Amino acid sequence: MEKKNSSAYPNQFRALIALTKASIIQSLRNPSMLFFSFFFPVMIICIFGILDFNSLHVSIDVHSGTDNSSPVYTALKKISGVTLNEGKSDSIINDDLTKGTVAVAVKITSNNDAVNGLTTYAVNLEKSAAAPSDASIIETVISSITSQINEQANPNSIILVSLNESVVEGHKYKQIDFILPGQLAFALLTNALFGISFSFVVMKKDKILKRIFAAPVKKSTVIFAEGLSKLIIAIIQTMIIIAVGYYVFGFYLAHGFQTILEMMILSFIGIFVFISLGFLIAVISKDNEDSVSPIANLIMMPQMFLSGAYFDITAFPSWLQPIARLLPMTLLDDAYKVVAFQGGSILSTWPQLLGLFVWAILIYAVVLKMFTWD
Amino acid sequence: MGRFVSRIFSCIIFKVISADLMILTVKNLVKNYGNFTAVNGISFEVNDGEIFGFLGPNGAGKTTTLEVIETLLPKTSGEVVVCGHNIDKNAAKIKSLIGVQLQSSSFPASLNLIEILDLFSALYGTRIKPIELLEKVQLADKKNSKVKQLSGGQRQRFSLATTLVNSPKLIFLDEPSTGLDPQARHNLWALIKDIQKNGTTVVITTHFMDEAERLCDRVAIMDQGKILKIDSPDTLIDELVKGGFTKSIINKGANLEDVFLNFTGKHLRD
Repeated sequence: MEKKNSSAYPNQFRALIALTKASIIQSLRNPSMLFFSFFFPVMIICIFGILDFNSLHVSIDVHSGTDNSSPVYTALKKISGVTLNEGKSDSIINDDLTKGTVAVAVKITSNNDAVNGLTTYAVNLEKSAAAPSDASIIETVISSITSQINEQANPNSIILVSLNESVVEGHKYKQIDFILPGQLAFALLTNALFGISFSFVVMKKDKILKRIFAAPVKKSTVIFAEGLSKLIIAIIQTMIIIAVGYYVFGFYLAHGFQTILEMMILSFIGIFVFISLGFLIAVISKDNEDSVSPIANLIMMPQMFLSGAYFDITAFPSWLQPIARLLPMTLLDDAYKVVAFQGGSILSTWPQLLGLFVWAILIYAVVLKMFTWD
Repeated sequence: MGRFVSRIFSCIIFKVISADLMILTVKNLVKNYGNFTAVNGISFEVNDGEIFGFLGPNGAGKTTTLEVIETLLPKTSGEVVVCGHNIDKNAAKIKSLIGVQLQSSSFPASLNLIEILDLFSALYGTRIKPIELLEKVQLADKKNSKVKQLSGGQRQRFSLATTLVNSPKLIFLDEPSTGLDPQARHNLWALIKDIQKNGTTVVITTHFMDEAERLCDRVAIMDQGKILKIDSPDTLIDELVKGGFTKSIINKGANLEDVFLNFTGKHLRD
């Protein structure tokens, strides 16, 4: 019986393509959608890119007693834009950190292990709570340096400096590397959030959906088309934002084209999760067009401000930080950074992906329970 | 005796032929919303090729009846057969054979007329030339406009065009002339007559009696979920007059609409 019924439907693939196309055209002709999903993120990227075109400018206080021959010290010294202030007394350094004039102070000590003939280094970081954004950038840079050194270190070799020199030299840390992933995640979030919620609420309210279902088209085709249109827009967003970041501001892609592909895969996963939030808004607003925007903002704003795309998470009160780190947009932002900045593989983003899938399962479960067609 | 037999015989033949002529059969249709009965056990048939009107005040159950037949609403009980297909068994098939104009439904706001017709033609799995359909409803010059830029009459004509993308055997028009000026109404009636001439059966709802009188071959008068009477407008009027009905206003051979159209002309204003 079921089979006979389904064969009465005309080619659903053609319907799917037509509905997807219609949905994309509608999105691209919607000024507020264009603003939030394309113009705004690109504008933020441009602002930060122009403000910090060459490289980042941060200074680090170096405690006396630091081992100048340690590979970490050498690597830091080689990064343009990083100034090392030496010869300051502990009290002055403490004053710098309190005022936030310097974001981070380091002390690097060496420890000769006589038994193995191996030299190990300890990097002691003091971060200024008054300059959390710079502090976080420096922290990321230093942890990236140390992990690279550790990765490449030959346990039998004592001298590590020569090994990591080349690795560090080609990599200039720029503001864009920290800003772009968050903006890309934000662009995808607005695309799915506003796109899905408004289109379903308006389609229901204006009986457009009813008129569509007067034609022999399956409900799954309509849902699928909406999702597909957001996915295609997400691909366009990812390409535009990475292109602007890379060609205009020199956004760092750890493994070139492969990194772009990996970021694209992350975009697919991200948009899939964000679409569920779009449906959630449609469901919560009970198809009242006037309540879509406030509810959408209620879901978007915390992610926008807490995700680390604009403000550094370490600046937040300690009770807020774990919450901020678990937001879907933060997870996607972090995953992009792991892939693009640290050069990790998709698999190494598994903690973020796991978090995103948990969000997806929870939200889709609610949506499936509450969604109505009329 | 022979005469009686031949009469029975012709009656049977008529039944057989008429069964073929029925494009829509509704038997004891009931539709409840909770405790409220919107449609209360109605039965009727629509002949192939006719214009069949549903007359009734607001809330009579006209739209509900139509939406059940269009397979957009589940019925509570009864039997509905559209173009030879039962709505319980073959909703998708029925949808592909009929054309539907919903009351006050809209279209995607940022698509133009051509794009909307292309979309609907894909949904019905048909190949059409959108511009030809627009020409049919005199909207070819508006092909790049959005629906919100159209006047009320143009909007109804466009809506009519979307019901024709699948060359349907039967179309349903739900209050198509509500809110239109006299010129636009006359123009719409002419279009509906044209569609009928091309072999499409039309089921229309209205609460304008003049519209039903001019347009419909047969009408069903509906109130509070029940059909009170079905017949041709002429027969219904004749029956009423035969029963001794007299109108308090004397017929002058013309009415105010005739006067209005005499002054303003019949050409379309949109």
